[in-house]
Amino acid sequence: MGEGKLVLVIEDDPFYFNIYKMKLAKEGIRAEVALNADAGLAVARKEKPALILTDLIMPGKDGFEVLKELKADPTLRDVPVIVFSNLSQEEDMRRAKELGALEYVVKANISIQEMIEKVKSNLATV
Amino acid sequence: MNLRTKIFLFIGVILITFFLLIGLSFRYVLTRDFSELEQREMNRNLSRVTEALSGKFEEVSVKLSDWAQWDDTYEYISDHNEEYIQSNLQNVALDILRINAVVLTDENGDIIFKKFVEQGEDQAFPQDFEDHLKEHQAEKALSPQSDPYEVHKEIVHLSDKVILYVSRAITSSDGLSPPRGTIIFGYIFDESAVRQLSQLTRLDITFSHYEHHDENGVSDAGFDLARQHLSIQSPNFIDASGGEDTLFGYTIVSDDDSNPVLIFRVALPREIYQRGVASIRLFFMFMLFSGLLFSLSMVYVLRHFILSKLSYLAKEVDRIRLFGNADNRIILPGEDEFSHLAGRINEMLISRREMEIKKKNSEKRLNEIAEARTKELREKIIEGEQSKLAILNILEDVGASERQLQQKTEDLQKFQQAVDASFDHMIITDADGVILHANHAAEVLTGYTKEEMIGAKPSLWGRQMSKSFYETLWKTIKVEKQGYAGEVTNKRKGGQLYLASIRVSSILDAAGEVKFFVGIERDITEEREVQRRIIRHADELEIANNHIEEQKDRAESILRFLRSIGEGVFATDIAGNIIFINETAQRMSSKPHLDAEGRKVSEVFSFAQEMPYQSVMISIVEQSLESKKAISFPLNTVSVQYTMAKIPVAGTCSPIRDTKGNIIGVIVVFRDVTQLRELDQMKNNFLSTAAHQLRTPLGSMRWSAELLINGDFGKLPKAAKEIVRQIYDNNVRMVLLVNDLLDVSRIDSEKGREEKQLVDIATLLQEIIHTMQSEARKRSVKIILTLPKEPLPLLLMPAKHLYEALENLVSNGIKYNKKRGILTLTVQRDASAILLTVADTGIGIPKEDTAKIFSKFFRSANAVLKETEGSGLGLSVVKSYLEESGAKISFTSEENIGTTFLVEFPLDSGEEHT
Repeated sequence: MGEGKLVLVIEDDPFYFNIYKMKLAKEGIRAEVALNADAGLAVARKEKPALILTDLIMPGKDGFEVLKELKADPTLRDVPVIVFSNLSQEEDMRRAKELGALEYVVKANISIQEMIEKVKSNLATV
Repeated sequence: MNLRTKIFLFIGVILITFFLLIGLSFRYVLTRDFSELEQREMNRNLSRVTEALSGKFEEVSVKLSDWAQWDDTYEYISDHNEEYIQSNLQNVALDILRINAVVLTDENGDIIFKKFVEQGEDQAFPQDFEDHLKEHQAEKALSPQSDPYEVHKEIVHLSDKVILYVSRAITSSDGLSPPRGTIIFGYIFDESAVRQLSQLTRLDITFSHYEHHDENGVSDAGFDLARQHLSIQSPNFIDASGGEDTLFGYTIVSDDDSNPVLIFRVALPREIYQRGVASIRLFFMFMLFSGLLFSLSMVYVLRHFILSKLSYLAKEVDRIRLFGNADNRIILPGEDEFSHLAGRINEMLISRREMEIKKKNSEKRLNEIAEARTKELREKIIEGEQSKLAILNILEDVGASERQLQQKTEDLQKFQQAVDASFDHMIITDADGVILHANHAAEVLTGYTKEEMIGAKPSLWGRQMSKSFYETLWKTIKVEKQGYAGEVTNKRKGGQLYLASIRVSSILDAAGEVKFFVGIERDITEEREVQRRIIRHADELEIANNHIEEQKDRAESILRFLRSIGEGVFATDIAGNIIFINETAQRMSSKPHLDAEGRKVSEVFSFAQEMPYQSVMISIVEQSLESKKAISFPLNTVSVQYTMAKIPVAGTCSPIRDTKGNIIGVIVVFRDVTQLRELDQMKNNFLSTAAHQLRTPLGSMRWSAELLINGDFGKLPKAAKEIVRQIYDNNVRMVLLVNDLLDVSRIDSEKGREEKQLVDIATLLQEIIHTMQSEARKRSVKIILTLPKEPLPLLLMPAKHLYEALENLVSNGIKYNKKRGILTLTVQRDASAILLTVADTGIGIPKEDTAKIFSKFFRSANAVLKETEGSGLGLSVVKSYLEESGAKISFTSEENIGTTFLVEFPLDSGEEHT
């Protein structure tokens, strides 16, 4: 499984932020949760995570810009990114995919258990 | 006067008049222009001279001001310190200052220092200058009102020289102490000063005094003339009498009291004028030369092509006339009017020749006949002269009446011959109307033979008109002896009536009594019929014409309407050339300023479909012409203008058919939907934001509830856990409701269309059943899937939407089934479609609700009872998505027995792929 591998979550909503933090820790997954894009990118550059989850709508830089910057960085280009957002317009989905997102998940549509499974299965393939 | 002289005279007179007119007008108009130009130039130069003079004043004024506010000067006025003079006002200093005179006065205007230098040598201060200064300084220099810093500029004309001078009050350098006395700088204005001015202005300047003649006694006529014209009111005078080489301009300079002192003369070479006059001469020469050339060539052309040929013709005709030889011919080569004329004359000669020959022949024959007759007569006379003489008297009367009878018979015979030859029916009767003769045409027309007619009267085939008609006719021809013409109806021997045009003429004898009647008849029955037909035809034509006019009016009013409506309308012919376009369409075209009619559509319009990252050009008109079908503009069509601005448009393109149903073109109607698109965009943005904002709290609540249920925050009491689960379930329903709402709005805005891809229905169904299995187990519903043995063709469909639609159907089949019910999915294939039936054994749809089952937010009462949750949007989404796929959905249902949905995927809806 993914022990030792780092998961980076970028999420500005404090509610979600806390749930990610608590639940991932509880599942024994090493995780860093960042409250905004810049903090998240700083962690990514420093720690080279194995998987990144990012929200789209955030104050300051949004998730699309996070994707752009990650894909522009040769050391982070190959890190899989899953978008976890509550936006569901097809344009947004297509844009995220085109910017290099591996998957697009509408947060409200899945249970926390499904989220954990997604993280785990992705970590396993890394 | 012959033609040649006339033409030469004409050309000569025209040429001379032309040259006179041109020459005079050029001389008058242009020369005046040149003079005006020259005078303007001269006035400018004169003002330059006066400006240069005031420049000179200015130069000295500046120097004077330096001295006037020098404290040493200021001191000197009160202490008369000789050292100031010694160190500052030596001859050299004056030379450097380029002045000739320095004067210092005290507050009272009394001169305390004066110096006059000429060519570096001290000179006695001119007495008249001193007098002048005393006089002027007393009144001017130190009057309390005057501005101490003001520099006064003066010109004074002394007995032997002119002096320009400037004066100013002497002030302390800080300007705090009161002014003290005056300082004056003067310099002689002489020939060298004028030279300086000349150099400065680059003009040839001379001067003279206004009042006096030159000292050397020679009076200059130019200056004398100028003095007569110049005054303070008109300070400039231009003298053009100096000939063509030089123009003189005079200006006067006045002193402070406005008394004229000097006259400057500027001599200006008349370059403009001379060059102008030279150009006119040159132009005139050129005109003269080309006029002559033209005349010569005209004369040559006239001589060579017309006059020479004319005189040649005249000479030839004269020759032929003089020698009377009609065998002569005129030979004139070429293919012009003259050679034709010669040909005609030749033809005339030939025919004259022939006539002469004929005339000679007949004369000869006549002579022969005359000779023979004469001979015969002579013999007869000789033979019977004796006896003739004897019985002459007895036979005279008899002979006369015989001759009369013979004459009559001959006349009749002549008539008959003429009559027989006529194509018209013709009869001759005697004065009582008894038929004497009838021609062949009369037999044909009346049906009676000549024998039957002769001796009878025309009433044989007449009698069809009223009695009074015949009486009038008879009266006209018999009593009044007039000719008659008219139309009558007659009857053939066979009894057939016919319409005839008749003419009856009376032939009178010498006594004026009727001798014969000649009747001519013509059958005009057919003619009349044809006339009638023509008239009827003309009427019909007119009616048809009116009809066409009406149609045209109607078409025009439609066109007028089309031109003015707010929709863009244009029509093309079969080749795609625009034959009609209204203003709105023109405005939305790619080139709004181009005259579009007659051009190809592709030249005038560029329609494009806007995709998320690109625009694709589309050719709607060509597609419609090719497919022969009406085509709607695709979603997000824009009209691209030449400025690259894009106008969103929506519309349709329909073929136009003629009465036989053949396509003759297309008509395109479209409108600007900018506002609609913007509204749409706003709606989408709102929906997207609204969905996001609704989901965010719902999602975090969902996860929190889940954490609680899973005991992440410690084990909950059973009742609490149940409540939290209910919260969780409701939360999930809310999320689904938000999703449904979004789906419905997307479908409404047609934004939600998905790219099509190849889909295998069987695989899709298996996937759906797999994900629904747990739900089915929960409700104890058994799902049976029946597929055909052969693999199904792949269909080009929006895969995701199709999946959602079928998933929804299966989900409904489970949810509204009875406990331990069965859901049967069957896929079949027929020739034109793949058929899917989804049959449940559930609650069924009440009859009264069947019409509303696909409506948004509708749920039938039994469904609400069975399943409290549900938005009422599911089936409406199903229907929209299936229709997007090109599939059709229908159902049969019976309450409490079950519902069967039938979905048909037509095989031609997408391309078939195996």
